[in-house]
Amino acid sequence: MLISKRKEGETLLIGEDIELRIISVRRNKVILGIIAPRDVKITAKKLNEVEMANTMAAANFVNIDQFLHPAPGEAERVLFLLEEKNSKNESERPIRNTED
Amino acid sequence: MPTCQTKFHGTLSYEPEQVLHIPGGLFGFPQETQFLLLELPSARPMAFLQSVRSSDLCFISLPAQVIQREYRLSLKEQDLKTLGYSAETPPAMGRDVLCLALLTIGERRPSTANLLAPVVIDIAKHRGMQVIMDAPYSHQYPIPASELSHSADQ
Repeated sequence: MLISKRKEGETLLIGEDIELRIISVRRNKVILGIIAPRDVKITAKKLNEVEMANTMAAANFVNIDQFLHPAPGEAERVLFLLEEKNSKNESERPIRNTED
Repeated sequence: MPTCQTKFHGTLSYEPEQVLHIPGGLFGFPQETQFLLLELPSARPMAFLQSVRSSDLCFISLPAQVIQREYRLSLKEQDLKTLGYSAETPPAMGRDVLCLALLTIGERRPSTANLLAPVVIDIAKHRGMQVIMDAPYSHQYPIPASELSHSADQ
């Protein structure tokens, strides 16, 4: 990683086509301006990590029996969660149905 | 009554009012705006987010507080506003909103939960959004296997 100390108003040149400008520096927030070709993707690393986590979560190939062990005939008891919650109005651990 | 082909629960019929709306979609899945929020009694507190339009898309999740007792919502101002709250009147977890952490089930590696970007669901409005928290939670928080294959007496 290249460490570069810059002041407000200064600009870094990255490669041939990218400019990174320090627009403003405050105590806990920095505003950066970036000029780059349209095909260069610029994204917050956090956002990228979250998209990846979602994609992996979407790919769960689990046999539901593996960790759910539904009782025989229980598939019919799939519940629509929001409906339950609306009527029961629980304040903690909302998914637990205390009447079970 | 419309029906939905689901990934884990066969074919379900549902009422339009039972649909959970996520207007902005989920990160990486901007087109997925309609879900059915399901659970199996024996698998509580696990919740399933089944896409209405894509039968193959069903997220498995746990309430964030089940994973970490001290979990607190730390939302950016913009996200609070979108949900209809403010810094002065934040939503109460469990009462106003449900916070679900999406799980990645590991086969050889430990399963993980995305505590950094929970899906926050407004219970009364049947609307939700996925937010990136303003706190250093992990997007890959390891979950012990016992937490997943749990019994109903949690």
